[in-house]
Parts: sequence; structure tokens; C-alpha cells
Amino acid sequence: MGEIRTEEMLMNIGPQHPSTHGVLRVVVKVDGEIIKEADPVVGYLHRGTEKLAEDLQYTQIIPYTDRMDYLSSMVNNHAIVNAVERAMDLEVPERAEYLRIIVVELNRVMSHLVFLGTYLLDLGAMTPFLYAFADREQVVDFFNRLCGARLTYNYMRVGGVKWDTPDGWLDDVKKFVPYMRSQMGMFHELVTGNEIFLERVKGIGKFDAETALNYAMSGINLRSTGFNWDLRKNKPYSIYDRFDFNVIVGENGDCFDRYMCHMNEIMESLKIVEQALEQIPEGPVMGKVPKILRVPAGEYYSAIEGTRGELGVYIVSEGKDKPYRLKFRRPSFINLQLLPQQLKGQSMANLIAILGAVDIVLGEVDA
Amino acid sequence: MSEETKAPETKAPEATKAPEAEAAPEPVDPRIEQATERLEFLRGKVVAKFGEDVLEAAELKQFQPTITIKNQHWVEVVEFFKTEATLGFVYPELMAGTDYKDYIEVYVLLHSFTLDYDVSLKTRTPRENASIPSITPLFAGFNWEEREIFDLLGVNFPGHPDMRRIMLEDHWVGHPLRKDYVVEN
Amino acid sequence: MEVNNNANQQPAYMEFEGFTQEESQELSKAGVLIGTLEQIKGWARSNSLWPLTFATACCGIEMMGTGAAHYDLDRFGIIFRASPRHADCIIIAGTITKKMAPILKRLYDQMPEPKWVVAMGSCATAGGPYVRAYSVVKGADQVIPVDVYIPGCPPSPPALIYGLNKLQEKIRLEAKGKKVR
Repeated sequence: MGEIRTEEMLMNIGPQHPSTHGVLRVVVKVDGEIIKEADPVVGYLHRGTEKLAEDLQYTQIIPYTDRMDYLSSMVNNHAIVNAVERAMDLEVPERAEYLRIIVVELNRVMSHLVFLGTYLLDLGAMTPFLYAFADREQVVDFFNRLCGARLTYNYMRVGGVKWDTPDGWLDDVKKFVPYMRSQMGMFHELVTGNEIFLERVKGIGKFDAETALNYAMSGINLRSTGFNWDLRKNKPYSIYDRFDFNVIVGENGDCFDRYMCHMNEIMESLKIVEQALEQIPEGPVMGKVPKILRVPAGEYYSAIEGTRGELGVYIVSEGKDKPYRLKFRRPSFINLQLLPQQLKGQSMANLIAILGAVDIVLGEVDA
Repeated sequence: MSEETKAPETKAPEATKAPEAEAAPEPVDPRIEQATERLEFLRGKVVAKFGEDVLEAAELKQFQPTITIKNQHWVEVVEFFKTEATLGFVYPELMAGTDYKDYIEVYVLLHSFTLDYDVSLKTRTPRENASIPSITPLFAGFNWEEREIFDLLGVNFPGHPDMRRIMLEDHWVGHPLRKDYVVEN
Repeated sequence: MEVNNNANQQPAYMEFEGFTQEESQELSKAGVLIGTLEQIKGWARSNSLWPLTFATACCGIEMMGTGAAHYDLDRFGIIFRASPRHADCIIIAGTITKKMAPILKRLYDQMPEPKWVVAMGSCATAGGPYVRAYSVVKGADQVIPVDVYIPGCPPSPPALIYGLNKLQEKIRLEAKGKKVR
């Protein structure tokens, strides 16, 4: 049989595509089924948050951070309030710190559930999506009771949190933790051992720790290569040093490891929630802060471990109530840069598997 | 040197107000002390290698050692920070550009796993024909960040492998994050 | 095909245009429906709306949540499609930027007639919190005609379901020749 002659073809995936998780566009050059070149095009959701923030007071910026990484709004809230508090050297009441940890970790669980559902939906499995969203809905209900919103919470304030918990909220969360644990067992039974799933993700999209570091990757993308780097441990902020939890690391840095890291991080987050529920003291939820927040003139950078990696806020202040310049270090944006290298030489079907495992949120990529 | 007025040393009394700073009002905040030590160490390293004249300033921003490097020496100094074995700032964390009305500043935050702390490096460029040599060949992670700064602040990065707009369309006029950009409605 | 609008006391029969009450009763008893072809088409269309998933931002997650098990949009015959060629309606869930606007227009043009547009959330309605941003289109209706606006940032799933029910109502009313604006 003679050699089959194929021509290179330019294919356009997105920005309207169910598996790009929003409005990412990938222009790929394929030779038959094999990707020769890939060029991600971003910016279809660029809303100019950083420019808008220059015109807003610090409290007014919090709702905009909700809409950046909209799968983990609480984490984003935490990033900005943490940055302002560090810059102003403010003290946060104990109870508020604990409430923050609880909601942030619950949010991490919720976000990873969305990853689980949508990733498997991309790979062709419908059922896990329905189960994951049903469980996610419970966490959404918790947040809805806490702050009256389902997705964009705007719950945290500089110096504390906006509201204390409603009656019975903490008890319900306490009941949710073991339930979620048992659900994870169900997910592992449903998905992790599945031969088709393993075939599609094992050994796909591999990269090593050195590449990941050079590409400034963080979060699960970095940890899946076996590199132990979690800001909750390595640059402790808030009260994370009081909890006993493990940093989940992978081994090979392939899509399967990233999937497993997500699954295991849910368990670790539940562990933190459980400990925080035990330790949470009574008391005020809002510290003493000036009515108008003025960050002293200077430059500040502080980062937290977001759901997708290092979520940092860089503030340049002139001592006014509005920042002179506000820059978000957006983990999704940075983690996506490796995509062309990851895709080179892979088949088209693997594009979805690789892209899904990077776990991007376009609101954060484009800001 | 409007920068000098922003020096964080003026905030030292503020820090002592916070209850967590256990030191009495008189002695310096231990965090400042530690940061000064680090700054002196890093500054010494740079001066020993390149001499005084690559530096524009070396100061503390809150607790962060910050070294401002002259534009034309930018790449070699950053490379030194990355490759020098005793420093080992191999992990690029953040790149940000700021328009300061009379110049544009690019800020880079690098982390070292050997020293276990961060350093901030900065360089400046005039607003007209703004240009800073690219450090993407050193840190692939700054590829898109440099493109974003090019897009939103209009700083050119010679040596970048793929310099084009990233967020806005190619035909967009102006650079939105510049302070004199007028948002039309 | 005139269904009595008074929901409280539903008649046991349907009142058809151009027939007396007795005749309508008789027809209903025999299981005969009489209507114009347009009305029957409207009835069919409204009960099998296939929206195009056009999730650009946060609202998309709520849209996915609405489609998932808890709220279950499928019970209204609303099933999400990924291709504009399959779709009857487009739910614009999220902010439309100036870079995205031409693509939205093209997707709309690719949809077969008849087609409807739902603007979900305040961004798609009028720019929302990003109305002052340099890169955001102030409402999807600057690009394509919109039939139903759903306020909220983001609208909760019940709000989305309500909005889609309103769209179904509109389709049925339009089929009767009424102008709905």
C-alpha cells in the first residue's frame, strides 16, 4: 500500500464551541489527524477589569473579582481582600478568618466538581456531569443562604466578612462533609476505573516540572508533575497554618494525574472544612476598619492559592481610596500558555482531553 | 524621582500599630529588618557582577526587596538572577506594567526555591516609543504577559517571538491601560 | 385553537374560532383539534425549543446548572445544541465584547429561520457591571435583535426558566398573528 498523501489543513475551534469552556479559540494546523501547530486566541471575554478597577474604591472592586473566575468567586474575593489587608496591615477577627476558610474550601470543592463534570462531558460521558452538578447545587445552596447569591457572592469585605452565618448553617455544612466524602467514593467507582476514560487520559498532555516552572505554571498543573508547591503551605496566608492537610501532588504530569489531583484535593478541602468547623470561635465577623479604605502609597503583591493556581493581586497605590494600578495574576491565563507545546503531535481527539485538563475559566484568562 | 516619596519606610510607624507586630514601637519591625538584609544581599550580588551603573534604585516596597534596573541591562541582569547558582530565581510569578504618566514601568516578580523568597525587578521606559528587551527567551511564562503589556500599555518587547495584540483586535487604536486613554461610550 | 386564558376555571373543552360552544364541545369530545397550520407549528416549536449554547461568561454556568439534573430544562423540551444549524433560539449567556460581537452576528446568521434570541443577564441586556469598560458591547441588542431579556447578574435558574417560558408564550402568540414586543 502506498503512502497516503495528506494535506495540511487549518481548523478553527471556537470561540463558540462546547468544549472550550467559554470563548477560547484554538487555531490548529492539522495534517490528517495529527496537530502540527496550535495557536490559542484569547481575548473574547476581555472586559477590562483592571482599567475599571482604577476608577473604583477597594470595596467596589470585590464584585468585579467575583466575575473573573466565576467558578470560584469566594476564592477571588479572598485574593483581593487579603491583598488589601496585607497592604494596610489590618487585623481580621478570628471568626471571620474561619468563615473565610470554610467558604473558600467549599468553593474549591464546588469548582473541582464543575471540572469533574465538564471534563467528563468533554470526553463523552454525560452521567458524571449530572451527578457533579447535583452535588454542586448543594454547595450553591449553602452560599445562597449565606449571602443571597448563587454564583457571584461578594461575601468578603476588607477586614472581615459581610454577614455571620444564618442559624443552622454550620451544622448543615457539617452534615454535608461526610456526605460529599461518600459521593467521592461513588465518583471514583463511576469514573476513575473506567477503561475508556483511562485510555483517553493516561500519558496524554505530559510535561515535566522544569517546563511547568519555566512556564510559570501553578496550582494543579504544576503539582501534577510531582512538584510540591502550594501557597497554603509554602507562603502561608490567612490561618492555613492551623490546619492539618496534605498537598496533593501527581507523578507523571499527564491528564490523568491532573484529574486525580482534582479529585484528591476535594478530599483535602473537606478535611480543612471539617477542622475549621470544629475550631470556629464565636465573635464578631467584621474588624475595625476605616470607613474609606486608603492603602498607603507603595506597591504590594500578595497571592493566595486559588482553585486554578496562584491568584495574585498587585496593587500600586498613591495613598488614595482607589488603586493607581491593579493587576491580577490570573492562573488560568498563565497556565494556558503551554497549550501549543502540549498539543504538538497529538491527535485532534486529544485536544479536548488536554485542554479540559488545564482547567481554565475564560473569565479569568481574559479578565 | 517621585518614586522616593513612596518609599515604604515612611509606613514603619503604621506597622507597629498593628497588634501582630510584637516589637515595641522603638525597634524596627522584624519583617523590615529581614527584608533589608535580603535587599542588601541581592544588591551586593548584582553590584559585584555588573557594577553600580546597571542599577537605578534598590529599595524596599513594604517587605519586598525591589531592584530597579536600567533598561539596556534588563536582560542580562534578569538572566543573572535566573542562572546564578546562589540565587536561582527560576520561577516567574508575576509581570505587570504600570503607566506612571512620565514613564512606563515593567515589574517582574521572581521566586527562588534555593533562597525561598521573592525578588521584584523593575525597569523603565519612556512613554514615546516604549521598548523593553524581551525576557521571554529566559522565562517562557512571560510570553503572554509581555503580549498583554504590549496590547494594553503599548510597550514593545524586541526579541519576543510573537509580538502581537492578545486581548483586543488587531485593528484597535490606542492602549487602554495608559492613563491618558479616553474610554468612548 | 383558543385555549381559555382563565387559568382558575379551565373548561373541559377547547373553544375553537368560528364555532359555537356546542360545536366546540362536540369537537373536543371527539378528540379533534382545529387550528391554523401556523398555530400548530407555533405550538410544536414552542415545546421543542433547541437553544444554541452561547455561554461566554458567568451566566453560562447558571445556564449549565439549569440544564443539569436539579433544574432539568429538558422537561420543557429545551435541549441544548452546540451547532447553530440545529438551533431555534440562542441564549446569550454572558458579556459580549467588541471582539466577540462579529462572531455573535455570524452565529445568528447561521441559524435557520425562525429564530429567537434570549439575552440572559445584565451584561447581555445592557452591558451590566461592565458598561463603562472599553471593550464591552452595551447589550447584545446592538448586534442582533433580542426577544426576551432576563435581568440578574447572573439570573438564577428559575429566572432563566421563567424567561424561556415567556419566550414559548411569545412564540405561541406570534403564531396567532399577534404582535409581541
